[in-house]
Amino acid sequence: MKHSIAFMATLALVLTIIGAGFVHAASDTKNVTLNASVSACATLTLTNTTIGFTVNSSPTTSSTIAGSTTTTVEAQFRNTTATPATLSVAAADLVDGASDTIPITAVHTTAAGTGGGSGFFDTTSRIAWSNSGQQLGTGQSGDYTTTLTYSLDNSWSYKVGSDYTTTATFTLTSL
Amino acid sequence: MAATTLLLPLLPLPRYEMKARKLFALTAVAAASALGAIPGPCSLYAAGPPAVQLFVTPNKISFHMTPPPSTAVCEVTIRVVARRRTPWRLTVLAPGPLQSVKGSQIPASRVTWKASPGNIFFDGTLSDKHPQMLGRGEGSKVGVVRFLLKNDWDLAAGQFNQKFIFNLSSP
Repeated sequence: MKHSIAFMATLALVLTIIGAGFVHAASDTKNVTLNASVSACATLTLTNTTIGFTVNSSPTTSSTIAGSTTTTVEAQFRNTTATPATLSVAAADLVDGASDTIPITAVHTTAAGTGGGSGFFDTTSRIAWSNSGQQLGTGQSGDYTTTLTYSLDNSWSYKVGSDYTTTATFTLTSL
Repeated sequence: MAATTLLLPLLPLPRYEMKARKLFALTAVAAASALGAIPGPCSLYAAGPPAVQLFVTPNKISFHMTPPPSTAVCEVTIRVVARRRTPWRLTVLAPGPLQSVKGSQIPASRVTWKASPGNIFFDGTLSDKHPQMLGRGEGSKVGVVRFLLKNDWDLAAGQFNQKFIFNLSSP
């Protein structure tokens, strides 16, 4: 009988202490659902969009002619897919008033840098332009800026006194 | 249950019935004390509403993104209900990065917040690894938390979702 009462008293004390623990350690948790809608977009900015080449030396002396200025290119885009965005340039051959031409492949650009971040612009080589479009850069979503320098392959076939012109189109494609 | 126990008649009873009643009484007292149903030295605040309660409104928030670079903002109101001088601490945790259905992610750490009033609620940066301290105080308080998401070009496009887990605790 005494043992039984002692046991029950101990049990009561233990349960009381456990109960007290429940009472004093209180907590409450709430969840908030968050949504963020990020839309796809692309912006291409070019500065100095008129480039000139003055060919006043022979190909023997100067195999390439430097462009009169450089172009700053900023490509800002956000992809919706894992497919990288691309920047390309396309142009028709340069032509003068007498329909003489300089092939567009004689025009080259070189990027000063990859543009920052994970990199976008191709800096590995002097890139020859093309009629159908030549890729200048590729990469994932970001904001990339570089400076393009221009050069023109010199040739004996260029006619003295001719003024060759063309228009190039830069296209940033983001999917 | 405790009242029933205390009103047991104090009349002479057979020995086996005495024993049974004592057993019943002790069990009743133990159970009642453990559940906090009667006043006792260790369960003075057991009865009544919870010691601390948390209310967060709204329970769905959206970042409205404008063209980058920009910062999207959304806001929640925090209400802590606690007895006077009851200490509490409030934390927030994201169980993972903000996730799109296409698998793109925005790191939780990209979300920061500014909270007011500043003496109770703290500014911080969200984490998906450790709960971050959002507030600490005593008694009932109300605060506002403005969550900020920096919108830059490196974010992938898509619909991102995640939940924030607010936890209020009182020692």
